[in-house]
Amino acid sequence: MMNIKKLIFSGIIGLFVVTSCQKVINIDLKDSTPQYVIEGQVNKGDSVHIISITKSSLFSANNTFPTVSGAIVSITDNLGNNEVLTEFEPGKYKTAHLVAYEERTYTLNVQVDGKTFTSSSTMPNQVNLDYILFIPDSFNEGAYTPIPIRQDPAGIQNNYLFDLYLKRSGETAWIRDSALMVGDDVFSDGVTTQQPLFGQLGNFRPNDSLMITLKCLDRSVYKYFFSLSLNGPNGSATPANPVSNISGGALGYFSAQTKQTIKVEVQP
Amino acid sequence: MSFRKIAFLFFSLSILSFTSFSQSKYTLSGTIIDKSTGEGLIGAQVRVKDLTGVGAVTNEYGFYSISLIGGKHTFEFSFIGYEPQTLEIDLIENKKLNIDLLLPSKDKELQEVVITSKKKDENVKTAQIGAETLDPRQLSKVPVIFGEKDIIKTMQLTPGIKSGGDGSSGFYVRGGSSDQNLILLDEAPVYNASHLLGFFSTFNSDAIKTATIYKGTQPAQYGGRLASVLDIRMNEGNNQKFRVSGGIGLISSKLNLEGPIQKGKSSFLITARRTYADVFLKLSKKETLKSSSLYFYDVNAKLNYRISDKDKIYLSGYFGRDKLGVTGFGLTWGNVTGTARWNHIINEKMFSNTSFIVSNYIYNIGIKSNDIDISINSTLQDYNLKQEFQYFANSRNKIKFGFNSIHHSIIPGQIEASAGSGVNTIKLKPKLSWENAVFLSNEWTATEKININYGLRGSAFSLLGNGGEFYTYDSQGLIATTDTFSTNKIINTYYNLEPRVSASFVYSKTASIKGGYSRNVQNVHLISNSTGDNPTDIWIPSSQNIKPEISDQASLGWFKNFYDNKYEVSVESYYKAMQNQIDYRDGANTQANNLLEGELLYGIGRAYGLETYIKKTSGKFTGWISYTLSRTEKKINGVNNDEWYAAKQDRTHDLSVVGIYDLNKRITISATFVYYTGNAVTLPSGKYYMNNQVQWLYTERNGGRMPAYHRMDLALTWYTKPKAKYESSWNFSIFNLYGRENAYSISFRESADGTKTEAVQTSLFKIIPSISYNFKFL
Repeated sequence: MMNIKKLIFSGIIGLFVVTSCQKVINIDLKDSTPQYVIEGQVNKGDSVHIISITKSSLFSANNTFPTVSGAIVSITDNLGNNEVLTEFEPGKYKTAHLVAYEERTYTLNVQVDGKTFTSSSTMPNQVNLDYILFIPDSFNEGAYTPIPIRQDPAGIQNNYLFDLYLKRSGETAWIRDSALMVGDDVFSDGVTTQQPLFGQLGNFRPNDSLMITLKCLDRSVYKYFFSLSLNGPNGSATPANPVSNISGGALGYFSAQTKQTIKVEVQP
Repeated sequence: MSFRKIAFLFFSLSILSFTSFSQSKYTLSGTIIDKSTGEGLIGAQVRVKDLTGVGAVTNEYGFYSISLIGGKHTFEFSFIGYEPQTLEIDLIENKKLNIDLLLPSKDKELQEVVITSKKKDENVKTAQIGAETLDPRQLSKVPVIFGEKDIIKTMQLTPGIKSGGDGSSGFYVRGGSSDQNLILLDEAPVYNASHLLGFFSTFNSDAIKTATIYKGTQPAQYGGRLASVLDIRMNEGNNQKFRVSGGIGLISSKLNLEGPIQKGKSSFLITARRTYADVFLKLSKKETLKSSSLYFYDVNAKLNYRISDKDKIYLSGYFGRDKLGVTGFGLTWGNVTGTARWNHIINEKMFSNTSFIVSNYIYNIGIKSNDIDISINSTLQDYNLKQEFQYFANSRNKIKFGFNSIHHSIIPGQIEASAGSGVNTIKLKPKLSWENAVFLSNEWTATEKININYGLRGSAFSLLGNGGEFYTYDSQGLIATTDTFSTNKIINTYYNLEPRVSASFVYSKTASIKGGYSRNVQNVHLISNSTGDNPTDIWIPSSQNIKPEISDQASLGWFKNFYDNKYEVSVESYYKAMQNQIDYRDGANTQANNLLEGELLYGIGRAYGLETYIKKTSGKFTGWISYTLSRTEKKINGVNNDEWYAAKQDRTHDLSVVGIYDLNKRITISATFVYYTGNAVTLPSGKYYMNNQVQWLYTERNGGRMPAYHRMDLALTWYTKPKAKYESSWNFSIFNLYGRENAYSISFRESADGTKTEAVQTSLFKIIPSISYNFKFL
């Protein structure tokens, strides 16, 4: 379901590309005061979890963002296991031995500059990514679109986020696809899901390599990524900061999640 | 004041105005038709030459009725562009008189370009404030995109009516959003008036007789939308002679057939058009483009039959479909409307029209590949019964009353999927509602100088059960209560009284001051949070969560004609206060969301502005300049700290200049220029790093502005030498003459070297030349 709107728009834009055109313009933008930005993940089975804290900057500034050092950061699970994170590089904090499990609720606490930010996230049960199927790409002849096949468990709300990396045939570097591919199972509860990943890069050719990661999210993190996706191209007419699950006024999210990666070659 | 008191006041007023009856008055009544086609003329004039200021106007079916003291009178029957008829009649009893008016010969017609079908000084005299009537004949000369004349696009060149921008058929009237316009085609509401995602409107101008937009005080027989009513009437079909006409353009062609079934008694009309942009796709070398489709077609058809002198039946319909397809994916959408009308002349003073109307809008998305077969369907279906009586009480009072009852059924998008498609089949229960209204109004000629239209509309909107679950939401948008109601059980009803008053004071022969006040209520709402027209945006009824939208508008204007009505000047101002306006939560999911109402926020709105208009209506050179200065704001609980902010359609300046020049009898050139302030949009005010990417920081909704929009278009129409049996014309036009790249949307991205951020605007059209050929067999 998540890609239908996108499909419509790609279709229209594809067909009207004859006349439409793009150019870089100068536009007056308002300034804003710097805000705290927190991003953190607790991945299933891992014991090292990283929280990064930065600040926002002005639109006209360079794309290097101020890091926030000296924060007191801790993660606690619902069984009372607790670890205070250490800052291993400016603005980046990590645990060393807090092993993460499904169904546990993790609480993040960040204290910095007299402010406190908290968030909690419950790790859902993992849904396995079984294999990747390829279908012909509707927009690029000779190219293929990947479909990650998984069996959605019935009766439970599941939320999915995909990361896609591409290595073109003959090259060595992996390129990250910037498309935000987020979805839930409102329309596909309990079935073998068949949603294609179109990606932003697209045009996946035979012998290109793909690395596809499936993350299972809790609902509040899903909401974060869903609302972030609305700010993308062809998104909402009123973009806004994504709905954060962090209280205290910081931007960003804290997600306890499962993570599974499959590496494949594009093939018909 | 309580509603009951207001109602009482209105009824007393209408009774008061009856008391001017006097003895030995007789009524002359009948229809005025075009002799060559047999079509009724709307707004034709009946003037009593020996009594100044006494006259009548034909209604939307060509019927007139005028009551006078008995005796000899000289009547003049006229309609602009037609040869008037003068008759002396000794009125000693009620008399029926049908009049045929004739269009003058072709050469004469070309000398004077008809801008509107109104009486020359009607703009000054009528009490109606904030109304504009367009004659389709005038459209052929105004340049338009792809050379496809379009009544909605041309209407946007008049004051107070703003374009939705390139790639949109939506328009904004006096600060209203595009879903606050009631668009009627032969009385049937059209829910999505755009083809090809807004590049064309659904109205084929060859099938249209007149189009009137009410942006100020709407007459009481109309209701259901806040901002405006666009009342479009289709041609009836020539009942004298069989005619074929058509047009061939670069991307679309059309054909029009009409003629008598029984001469003088019944006739038919069929108009069809289709675009063939996809034919060009077939020329593409790319296989994927070759197998794509992108087109629309529409058909207008009408039948009418005069049963007797007193009864006439009209059947009219519209069917339109847009299709967009690429391998494995298809999107179809379109409207269907059907109207059955029965005109009955009860007596010389009383005219009745009964209409039964069906409106339908659907979209369908199909996804097919290998073993996947998914279809998503949405339907909006209205059944609508409308009864209107017109009582021509005397030469000073014309009363209209009646009722309207509409049953709405909306299925917002259900899924049918084959096994193995990866999604479940989800059948949705239709959202049901029932909208009722009664209305009463009077056009009262109080004195020779003062005209007053006043009326009252009472509306009731009931949300009906459908056997499914109904939710209410808390302040966070989470479900608060869940209830189930059986099908067609009334869950709740919203009652509203909508008073409408407008008045004109004609203080000199060529000048007047007009004022008006009206309340409007809207109970179906379009949920749309996309940049352009999106066929999958859905309408939802007022509910336990969504309250009826209400607007109160006051307007005041000055109207003056110069040089024997050759020049019309007007200045109108308005202030509109709106209640129960809708906006969206941050990150709202407005597509395919069963809990959509939890994503909505509510508040108030206000709009005010000044509209100026200078128009030259006759001579070799005609045209107008229209300028609007305005502001439109919202104050929504939960947006921008509950402060006032600019609505998307807020535009400070909006200017249109239209010039049409008849070079000679055969060649007309025309040009238009538009300039307006960019829409209010949400732009970032900073950035941050998240999810391996630079993200934009937003601090304020609609706090930014799109760049100003401006554009010039040019057209040349060449009428070839008429043959005995055949007439034709060529139309050459250039859209966006100087190739201005107007922003359709603005997005942001990292610069090529990754160190900076840049703003990128997308524009849809540069210069678009087009050519079309129109023909008519006589």
